[in-house]
Amino acid sequence: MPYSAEINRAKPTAFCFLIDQSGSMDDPWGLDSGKRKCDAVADAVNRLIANIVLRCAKGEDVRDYFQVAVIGYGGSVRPGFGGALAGSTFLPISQVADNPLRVETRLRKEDDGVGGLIERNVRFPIWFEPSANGNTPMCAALEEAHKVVAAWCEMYPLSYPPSIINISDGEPTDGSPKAAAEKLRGLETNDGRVLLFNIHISGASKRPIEFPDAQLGLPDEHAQILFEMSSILPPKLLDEARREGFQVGPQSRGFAFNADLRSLVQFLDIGTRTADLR
Amino acid sequence: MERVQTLWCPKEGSTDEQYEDAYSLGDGVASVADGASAAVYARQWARLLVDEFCKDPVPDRDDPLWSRVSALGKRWSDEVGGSEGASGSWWAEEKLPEGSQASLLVVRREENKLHAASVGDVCLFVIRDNKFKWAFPLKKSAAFGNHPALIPTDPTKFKKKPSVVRFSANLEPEDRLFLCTDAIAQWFLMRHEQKARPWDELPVEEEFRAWVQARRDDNSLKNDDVTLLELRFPSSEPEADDGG
Repeated sequence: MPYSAEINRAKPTAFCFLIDQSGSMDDPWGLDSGKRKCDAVADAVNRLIANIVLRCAKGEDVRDYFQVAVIGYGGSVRPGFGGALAGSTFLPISQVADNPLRVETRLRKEDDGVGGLIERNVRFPIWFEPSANGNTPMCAALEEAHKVVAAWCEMYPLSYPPSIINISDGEPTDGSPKAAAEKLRGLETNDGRVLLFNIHISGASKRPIEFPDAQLGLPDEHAQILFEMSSILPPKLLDEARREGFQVGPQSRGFAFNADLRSLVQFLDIGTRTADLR
Repeated sequence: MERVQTLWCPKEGSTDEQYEDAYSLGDGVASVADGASAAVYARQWARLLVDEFCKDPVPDRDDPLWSRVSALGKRWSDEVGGSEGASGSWWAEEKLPEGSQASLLVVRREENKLHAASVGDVCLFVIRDNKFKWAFPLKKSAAFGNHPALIPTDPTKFKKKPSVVRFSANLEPEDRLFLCTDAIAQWFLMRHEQKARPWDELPVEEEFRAWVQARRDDNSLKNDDVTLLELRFPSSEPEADDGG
């Protein structure tokens, strides 16, 4: 059965984030957030990478159940990690954990266990800086992802296949991404084809469309193309989405349209859940 | 209760030092815990739990049980808070406040009566006259899932505490008791459902790791830490013995 490989240190899985850094990501996200889209996406990706590290942290060490790559695209396509990790594509999660650009302290609201919220200082590592510049070469980013993911699949043929998560606010400026996405989705390990998830973010106050199972109801051709590009969720991720209260069916795809910040964070979290770690 | 044998090994890919189950035996009492894979310092938490509940019985009511767990959780926090790895790294600082979790089974003998208490999926099987007599708390191999009930280091954080399940039965001389963490418990029940006698298929201690590997290779045994503690209920009084 596909998507059932156990994830362990000999057979890790991989996450590859493709992040739109084009000029439009400089626009504010929503009316009240006070954040630019690129700031919000950088925060969400940094938080997600931190969460992935914490899933692998056993106390004494961080176990290499995952490898992570970040690819930015805006004007050109480039590796998204900086500092000691600059220029790298897939990196073991322990190496990522030990090499953030810096660790900030931020206030986080948390459930106090008796119905209220408390604020707690948390350590917030930064690996990925916001950036917004140039056009949107999504096709080139998907081609680059194909290159690094193909190499990864060759190295780990028995692993749970890599998940690629593409976050963008607009239409590509280098042609239709359908063919490049299809080629990318064609890559596989013995445990199944790679999973491509697409998140279209928007500052508009339109209702997000999450994990749709049909093109019906999608507002335009761009949304329909992103839907077609996205993988059908494997059963375990369908269960996770269901547990989070989403209405999903067997044909639901890893796609969110007009995502707001809340749905971006939730989508990323669901998209990176995997089988039990051993 | 007399210990017959203790079989254990870590999950494939882990060292003995990374094995996160724990077991302990005391005077008429035995316990086995399974530290949660995703939790931090789970080995230490499992060890504290088995030692604590072998020393003093599990209370009959839940409230005093959770009070003891809370006190024990503070000990865990003191123990691991100063250990190497916990200081300095951002991830250890963030993860430690989440605490740890483990599932637990404690069995205690009073005269010829057996009392068992469980949180989670560590299982007890009782074999009498070479026949399967009781399974507790899970009775079917299909009942094992990825989200068993777990004892947290800080139960005060949870509005709804995990269920404590209790079981009592009369023992007879020469009853055999098997206390098993989830992977081997699931295998045990599966073999029973296949009309086999899993207790007869177990190897001696020296051959256990090869035996486990063969079953992991044919997918009949999940890759997880494995612990099986076999006890015998004799006619005479038992002797105390420490394990783990």
